[in-house]
Amino acid sequence: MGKYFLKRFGQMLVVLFLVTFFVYLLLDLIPGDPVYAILGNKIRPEQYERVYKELGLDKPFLVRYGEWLSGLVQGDFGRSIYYKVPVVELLAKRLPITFFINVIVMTISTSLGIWMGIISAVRRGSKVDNFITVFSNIFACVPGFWIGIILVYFLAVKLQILPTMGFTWPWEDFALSVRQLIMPILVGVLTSLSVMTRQTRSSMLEVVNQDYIRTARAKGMKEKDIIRKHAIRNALIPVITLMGIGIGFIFGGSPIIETVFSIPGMGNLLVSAIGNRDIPVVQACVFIMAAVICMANMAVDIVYGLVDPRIRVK
Amino acid sequence: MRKSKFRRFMDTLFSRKIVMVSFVVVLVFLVMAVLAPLLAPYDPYEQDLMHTLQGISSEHLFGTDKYGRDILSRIIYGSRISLIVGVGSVLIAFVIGSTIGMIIGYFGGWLDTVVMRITDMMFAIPQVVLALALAAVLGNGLWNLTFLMSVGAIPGYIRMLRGQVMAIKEQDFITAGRVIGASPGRLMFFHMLPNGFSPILVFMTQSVGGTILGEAGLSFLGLGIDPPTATWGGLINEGRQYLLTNPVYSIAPGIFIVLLVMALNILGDGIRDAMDPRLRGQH
Repeated sequence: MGKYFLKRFGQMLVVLFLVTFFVYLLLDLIPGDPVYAILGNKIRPEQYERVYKELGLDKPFLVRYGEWLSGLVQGDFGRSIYYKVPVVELLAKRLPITFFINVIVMTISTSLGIWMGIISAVRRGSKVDNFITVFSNIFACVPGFWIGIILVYFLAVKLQILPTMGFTWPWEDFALSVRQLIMPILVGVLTSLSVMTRQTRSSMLEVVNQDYIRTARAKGMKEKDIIRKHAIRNALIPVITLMGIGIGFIFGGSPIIETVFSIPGMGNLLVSAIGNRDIPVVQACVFIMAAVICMANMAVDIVYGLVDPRIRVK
Repeated sequence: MRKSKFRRFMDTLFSRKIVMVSFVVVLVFLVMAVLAPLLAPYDPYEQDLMHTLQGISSEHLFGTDKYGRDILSRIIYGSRISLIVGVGSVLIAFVIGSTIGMIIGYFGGWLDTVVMRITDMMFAIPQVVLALALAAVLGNGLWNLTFLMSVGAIPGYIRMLRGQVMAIKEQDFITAGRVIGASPGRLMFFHMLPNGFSPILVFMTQSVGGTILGEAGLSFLGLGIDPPTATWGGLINEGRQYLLTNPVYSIAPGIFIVLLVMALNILGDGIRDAMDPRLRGQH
């Protein structure tokens, strides 16, 4: 197990290293002179020289990348061009908000999705199955931001029972926090639930057709016990992988959800940083999202290895 | 007389009513996009500042926007963007991804290792975030948008084709081709690609809907195509500020997105089931 863990950890580091290179290279390719982007066009040549040096643009690409990477390893993401503060300061405020919301969404959507997927597979062809299938097919086609706006229209504008936007930590004002969180979490769950449900259903259906399930039936085991003791346990293994995908999906949805509800999280920061051409912030946000997803996938693979010894051997 | 393979495929495909309906819906959207200038009741760019933000009326079915432009006409024109980006980016991803995938699957070696690590990296970045980062680099515009939506899908095609080529390349008909002197390129494009094409086609049809959703998301964030061009995502975003005066402004374009994406998804699933009936109802 230790060896497997180390191997997986090494793989993750390689991928993360590639991500840093990719992110740096990509954003270095942005057309236009960053000096003009920061200071505007009406600057004196001396000013231009100074900022040009300050940004390290007189050095070759690989040197700049090396400096950026060594800063990153020490937790220094550079300075935001737009906000004029270290990027870490921005992230320190915004990352926890995104995490907080996404963890809640993730918890609700996985547990609900697995539950719905199992019911749907066990009662295949029944009314419940049809309902769940239609429900998840519909929500797979609906843009999250549109659901968000419709919710805002009905709950906040028409009925005026929820605030339209914003974010408050629960320990600052619990009632307000809950009221502000309802809509973003609902949107997050509704858009990610169908992925979870469909995956659980299909992996459960695959298991139900296996020989050992037939054997269990043949020896006269009760259907309930077959499902609980044999089917679910085996079907949940691929579902663990799904949680890795789910984390990516939910984090990928953050920029949109946080924009719709004006939540000052990392997704919102990323979107506004792109608008402001604030490259250090964009780099940091993309890197952190990739890092979170890589770590989640690693954790998933390790849990997978613990649950199913066959994986480790492969 | 024995039915041709294609006929049999079409018969199975349209044996289910919902697939038939979806096919018709997709066709309607295609016609709408192509014939937009004929179908749209007004010029989508013509401003009428005397009649801004009107609600539903007989003259303007979905009302008018903040510049007095007819929302229905803008939605009709918006279908062009969604379809071009949706279909275009799937095609681009297929061409780039399958070429790379076949090459690394055929030749293997260090190139294979390097490319596979790069795909690992791309899978680590959520598609939306990847598209956002690329949007920062490429800037706005129809072709940029189409390209950046395709990038996130490329690794999927690379892996798929690589796997297929690796499975096929040792088979007799490929060896035979090699023996009579066919070049690797010929073997790849004329023998391996057609041989494993049906799962790819299924994957492509199933991903158009998702791509359209992604495009709508980017347009919503203002990172797609610059105004005054009408996009569905952009319309929803504009309408957000006028929920109180004209909620249809935001709601109507969304209904079009949902309809088109749903029809495309059902059609995609239908094509999968018709190609391999064993898979029906599994996913």
